[in-house]
Amino acid sequence: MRHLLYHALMAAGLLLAQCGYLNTPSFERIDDNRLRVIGVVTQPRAEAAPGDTVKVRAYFAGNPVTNVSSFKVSYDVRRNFSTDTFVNVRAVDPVSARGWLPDSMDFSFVIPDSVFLQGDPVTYVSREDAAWVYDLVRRYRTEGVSVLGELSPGDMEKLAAVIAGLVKPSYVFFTAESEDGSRLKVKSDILVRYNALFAGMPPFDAMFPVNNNPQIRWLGVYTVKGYLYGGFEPDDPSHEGAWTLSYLFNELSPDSVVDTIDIDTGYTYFIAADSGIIGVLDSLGNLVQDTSREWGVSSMGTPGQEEFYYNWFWQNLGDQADDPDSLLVIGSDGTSIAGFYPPLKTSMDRFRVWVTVHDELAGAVRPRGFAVRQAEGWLRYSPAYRARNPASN
Amino acid sequence: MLRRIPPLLLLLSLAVRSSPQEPSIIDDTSAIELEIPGDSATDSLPPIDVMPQLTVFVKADFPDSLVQKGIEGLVVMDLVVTDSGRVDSVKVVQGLHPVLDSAAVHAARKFTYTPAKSGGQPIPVLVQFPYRFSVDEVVKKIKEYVNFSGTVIEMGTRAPVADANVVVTPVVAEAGVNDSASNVAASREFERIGSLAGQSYEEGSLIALTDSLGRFAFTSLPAGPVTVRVIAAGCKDFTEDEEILRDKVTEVKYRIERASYSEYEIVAYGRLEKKEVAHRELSSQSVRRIPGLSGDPVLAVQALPGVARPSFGGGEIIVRGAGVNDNRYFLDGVEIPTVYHMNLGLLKSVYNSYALRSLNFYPGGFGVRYGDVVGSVIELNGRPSKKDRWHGYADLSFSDFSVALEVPVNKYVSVLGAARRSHIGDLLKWLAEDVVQMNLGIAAAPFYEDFLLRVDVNPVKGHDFFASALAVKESLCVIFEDIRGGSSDVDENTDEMSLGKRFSLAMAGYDAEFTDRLSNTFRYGLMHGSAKMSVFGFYKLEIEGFFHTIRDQIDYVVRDGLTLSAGIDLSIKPSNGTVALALDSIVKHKVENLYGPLGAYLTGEWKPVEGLTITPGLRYDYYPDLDAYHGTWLPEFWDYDINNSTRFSGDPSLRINGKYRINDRHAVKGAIGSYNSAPRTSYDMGFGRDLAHSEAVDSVMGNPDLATTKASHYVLGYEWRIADLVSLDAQGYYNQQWDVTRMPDNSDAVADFDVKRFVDNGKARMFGLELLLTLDQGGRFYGWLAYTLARAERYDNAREKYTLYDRDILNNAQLILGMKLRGNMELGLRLRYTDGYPTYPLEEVEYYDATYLYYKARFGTELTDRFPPFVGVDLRFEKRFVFKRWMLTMYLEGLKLAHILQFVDGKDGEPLYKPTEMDLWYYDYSGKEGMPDIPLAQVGLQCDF
Repeated sequence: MRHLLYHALMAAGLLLAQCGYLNTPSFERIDDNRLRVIGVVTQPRAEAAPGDTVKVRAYFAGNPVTNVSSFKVSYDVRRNFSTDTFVNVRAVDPVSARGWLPDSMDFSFVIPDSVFLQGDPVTYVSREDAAWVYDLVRRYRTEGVSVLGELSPGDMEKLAAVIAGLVKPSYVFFTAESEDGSRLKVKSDILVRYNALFAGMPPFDAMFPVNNNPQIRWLGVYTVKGYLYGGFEPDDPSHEGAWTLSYLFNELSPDSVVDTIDIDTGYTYFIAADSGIIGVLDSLGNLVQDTSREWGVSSMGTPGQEEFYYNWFWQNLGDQADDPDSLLVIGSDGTSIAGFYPPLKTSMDRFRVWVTVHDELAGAVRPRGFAVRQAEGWLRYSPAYRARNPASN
Repeated sequence: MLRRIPPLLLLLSLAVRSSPQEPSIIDDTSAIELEIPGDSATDSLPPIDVMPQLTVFVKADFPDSLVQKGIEGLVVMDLVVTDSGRVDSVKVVQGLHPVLDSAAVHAARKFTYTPAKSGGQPIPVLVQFPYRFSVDEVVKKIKEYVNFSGTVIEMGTRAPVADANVVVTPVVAEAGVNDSASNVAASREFERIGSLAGQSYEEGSLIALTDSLGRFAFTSLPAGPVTVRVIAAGCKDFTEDEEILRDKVTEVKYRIERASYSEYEIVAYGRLEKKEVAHRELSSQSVRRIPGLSGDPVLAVQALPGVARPSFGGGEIIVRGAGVNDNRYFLDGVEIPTVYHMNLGLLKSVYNSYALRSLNFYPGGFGVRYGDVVGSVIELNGRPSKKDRWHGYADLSFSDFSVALEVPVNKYVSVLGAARRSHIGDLLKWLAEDVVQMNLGIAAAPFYEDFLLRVDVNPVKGHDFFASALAVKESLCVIFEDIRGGSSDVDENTDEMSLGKRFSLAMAGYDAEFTDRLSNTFRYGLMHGSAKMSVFGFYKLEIEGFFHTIRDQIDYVVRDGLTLSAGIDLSIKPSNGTVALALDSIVKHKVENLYGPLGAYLTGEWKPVEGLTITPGLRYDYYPDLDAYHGTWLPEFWDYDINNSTRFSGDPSLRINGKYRINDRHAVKGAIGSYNSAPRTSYDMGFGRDLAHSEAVDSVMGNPDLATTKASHYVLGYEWRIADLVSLDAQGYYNQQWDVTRMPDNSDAVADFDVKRFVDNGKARMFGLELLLTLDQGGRFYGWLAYTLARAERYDNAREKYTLYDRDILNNAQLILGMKLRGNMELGLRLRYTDGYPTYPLEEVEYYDATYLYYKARFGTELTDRFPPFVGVDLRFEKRFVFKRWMLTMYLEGLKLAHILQFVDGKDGEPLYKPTEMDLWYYDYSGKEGMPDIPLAQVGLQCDF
C-alpha cells in the first residue's frame, strides 16, 4: 500500500486539475445496456450466527437480469496482494427458497452449525474453546437459556472472550445473467459470529451486540429557492422557509409521496434520504426519531455511533443522449443529501434513483449493514426552464 | 645690412642637433669670411682668434597642437653676439611657422655665449643659428605615464569583459587645416607610442586589451579628442568619444551589450578529454534554457540518453533500467537523500541551480570514488560566490519564488546564499476556492522550500576552505473533507494522507595542493533528516536520524602519465522512529538502525602510451549493520553463488576504465566494474535511499538477514567529433544485478512468504545502446539529439525466467534545440518520443463486490502490454531586457503542447493524439481510457543584478 501512496497522491492532484474532462462511463449512472447490481442485503440483519438461515436479496438495474445461478458460499479467504483466494467453498443448498421481485431476487441458505470447527483452524481461538462454545450453543438451542445460567462467572467471562474471537467473514457468490447475454459474478460479504444468537436477550444482547441493517424510510427531492453552489442543510436557519420537500418514497406516510418534480429556473434541487438521525413526520404528523443508527465499540475499546455512507445511483429513462452529462445528474459526496441537477435537455423527463447506505464504525471489525431503496419520478419543466434548456439542447 | 658692423664675421653652424631640449649648439663652428660687396675695407679686418661658444641654451616652446599636426623644420636666425657674450639682437632669416619663428626668437634672445676674440680682445660678432623643431624628438622624450584608463563590463550583468579590444583613434583634424597632413602627423605620433608597453599601433589607432577584470590603460596618449571603440567577442560594438588631457588621467567605465544573453554554453557529454567513460557534465548555465526542465540541471539529466521518462506526476530518475533506489546523489562529495522536490510534476531540484556550478552524471561504469551504489551517481557541485562585487537574482513563477545573493566580504572570504519557497499549493487552493468557488471536498497542498548558504575562504593559494549549509523541507498532503479513516491513536489527522520530509546538511570542505605533485580533498558532512508519512488513521511513519559523512582523497603525481589516489568514504547513519498501524488493534513499532557503509579505495590514472588512459581502481565497502553476506573476498562480476558466513566482512569492488584517443576526432572507450550496495526496497517514497534501507532490514517491517546487492557494469563506447561544434557519443552497455532485495512470492519458502517482507534472491539485467549527437553553442542553433534503445528485465523467480521491468522503455528519443533570436530573445524546443511503460494485461473480471461496491479484475502476471507511446512537445520563449546595472527576463514555457491535439478530432472522430499516462479502466472493466495528461504553462519573471 505504501508504495502506491505517492502515485495515489499525484494522481489525486492531477485528477483535480483534470476533473470533468474524462468521459468514461459513470459508476453511479445506470445505463440501459449494462447489467448492474445495486446492492446485496442480507436479512434479517447484517450478520448471522452459525445455524441461522440467511436471506440474501440482490437488487439489479440496467440491462434486465433474466437468470441467477451458481450460488456459493466461501467461509475462508487467503489474502495476498490483489490475489485473494476464497477457500472452503460450498454450494448453497438448492432447496433454499428463491424468489423474483420486480427489481430484485432473493435466496436463502443456512450457515452451518459447525462453521467454526470446519475448514481452516480458528485463528484467535483454540479449536477446543471453539468446540466448547459449539457444545454450549447446541445445548442452548435445545435446553434454553438455563444452560447459560449454569455457567460460573469465570466461564461467563471465558464465553464472552471466546465468542468475541469467533468471527468468520464469509462470502456469498452468485452469477447473474442479463437479457443481452452478459454475465456477472457477484460477491457479497456476511460476517458470521454468535452475537445474533443472543439478540433481544438481556443481558447477553449487551454483551454480544449485533449490527442491524440501516433503514431508508423516506426519499425525496428538496426544491430550494435560489442558486446554491455549496451544500444544503434543511436545518440551517438561513434556509428556513426557502425550501420544499417532495417525497418520492415515504414508508411512514405513503400519502405524501408524489411522482412528479417541478423544475423551474431560480431554484436548486437536492435529493435526500433518511439519514438515520433526522426524524420524519409519520401519517399522523408525529415526528419519528432515528432508530437505525447503532452504538458500538471499536477495536480500541472506544464507544461510538456508527456512520452512514450513501451511494446514489440514477438512470435517465427514455431519452439517452449522446452526452449523458446533459441529462439528469446526481452529485454526491457520500452523505444523505446529494445535488440533483435537472437535465439540460428537457426531452428527458423520467428518471429512476437508487440510494444505498452502509454503516461503519471507525476502528471496529464488525459486519457492514446495508440497505437499498429505489424510487422513480417524472420531471415537469416550467416554460422558463424550457426556454433556457430546449429539448434538443 | 650685413655690413653694418665692419668687423663682422659670419659664423655658420655646420652641424646642428635638432633636439629642442638641448641647445642647438655650434659644435663645429667656423668663421666664414663673407665677401661684402662694395666694401674692400673688410679685407683688412683682423682675424678672429677665438670663436664664440654657446654656453646657455634655452629651448623654444613647441606647442602640442603643432606637434600633433606634425609641423617641423628649421628656423634660421642671425644673432648678434656682443663682446660680453649676450645676444643683442635676433633676426629670422628663414621662417618655418609664425608661432615657431616667434618661439625660436624668444628662446635665442636668452642664449649666452663666450665672446669672440680678435687680437686678444673680445669683439661682437654676427652668428647665424638654425633652430630645428623636430616632432620626433618631442615624442621620443615624452615621459611614459598613463593618461587614459578604464573598465569594460557587460551591461546588465556587470560582469567584466576580458580580452576585449579597446581601440583609440584620434579625431580627424579640424576644418580649415590640412587634414591629411594633420592625420598623418597624429598617426605618426600614435605609431610612436604604440611601442609602449600594453598597447599596440595598427592602422592609425592604438589598441589595448582588457584584463580578466575588464580593465585597460593607455600610456602617453597625446592630448586631444579621440574616438574609443570596444570590440569584444560575443558583444555588440561600442563607440564613445573622449577628450584626452595632457596632465590628467581620463578614467572611464564602459558598459557594453552582449549580442546575446543566452547562457547556454556547455553540454559536455563524452568529450574526448573526459576521463570517465560515461561521465556527463552539465553546467548550471547550460540547461537554463531547455524547455520543460524549469531551468533545472537535475531535471536536465532526464533529457540525456539512458534516462527513462519519469512516471506520471513523479520525478524519479531511472537510469539504464536500474531501480529508483539504485542511484546515489551527492552534493560536493557528501550524500544527500534526494535531488528533487515533490511538486506534482513541476519538479525542482533541492539545490538552487543559481548556486550550482555543475552537475556530474555517471550513468554507469564509474570509478571507485563512489560506493554503496549499483546504478548511477549524480553529483551536484556548488560554486563559491563571485568576488568582483555583489550579485543576486530573484525569480517568480507559478510554482515558487526564489532569491539569491552573493557577497564578497574581502579578498579571502565570500558568501553565497539562496532561498526558495513554493506557492503552487496556495495558488491552486486559491483558484479552487476563491476564483472557481468549487468545493472539491479535497485539498491538495504540495509545499517545498529550501535554503542554502555557502562561505568560501581562500587565505593562501592552493588552500581552499568552504563551509555550506543546505536545509530542505517539503510536504505533500491531501485532506479529504468528508472522509475519515483509521484511529486517532495512530494519527490525529484521520482525514488526510500526507508525505513530509526535511533535512538539514552542514558541510565543510578543504582542498589543498601541497606541492605540484601532492594534493588532498577533504569533506565532512553532518545531516539531520526526518520523514513522516501517514495514511488517514491507518498508518503513520515517523523517522529521523543524524548522519555523518567523512570523505578524504589524496592524489599523488608519481610522474607524467601516472597519478595515484587513495581515499576513504565513511558514513555513520543512526536513525530511529516509530511505525503505527491500525489493524485489529493498534500496532506500534519502534524502528532503530545504525547504517553506514565504511569504504576505502585505491585508484590511479595511467597513460602508458600516447592517447591511452587507463583508470583502474579497487574499493572495499563494509556495511556494519548487516549480518549476512553473500559473496567472497574477491570482486564479483557475476553471481559466484558463494555464501560468505563471516560476519565481519564486506564487499570488494574492482573497476577499470579505459579510453584510447585515436586522434583529435576519434576515441574508443570501455569500462568494466563490480559494484555493491546495501539492501533496499525497490520502491521509493521520496524519502531517499536511507529510509529504503531501514525498511528493508527492519526486524518487523523487513528482513534483517538481507545481504548486499551486487552488480557488474560493462560499457563500450565510441566518440567522434564530427565537426568543431558537432560531436557524437555512442555507448553500449550491459549491466546485471544479483542478490537484489525483493518482495517474496509464491516461489519462496512458505516461511519467507508468510513472515518476511523481503528476500534477497532477486536478479536483474539491463542492456542497451545510447547515442548522443551534440551541437554545441557557436552559431544560432544549439542542442542535442539523444536516443536510447534499451531493455531492462527482472528475474521472475516463480516462472524462472526474466520478464520486463515495469520501468522499461524500449525506444526513447529526445531532441533539444535552442535558437537565439534578435533582441535578446530565445526560443527553446524539446521533442520527446518514448515507448509507453509496460503494463499488465487484463485477464478477466472476477466478480462485482456488492459489499464494497467495486469490480474485482484479475490482471496478467507478466508485463506484456504497454501504454501507448508518449509524444511530448515543450517550448520555451524568453525575452531579456538589459538595463545598465541589472537584467529582467520574462519567460513563458509551454509543456506537453502536443497534448492539445487530444482536444482536436481527426477525420474518424477520434482525437488526433491521445496522451495516456496510466490506464483508467471503466468501473466494470468493460473498456478503458488513458489518463489524459494535460498541457501545462509556466510564466515567470527573473531579475539578475
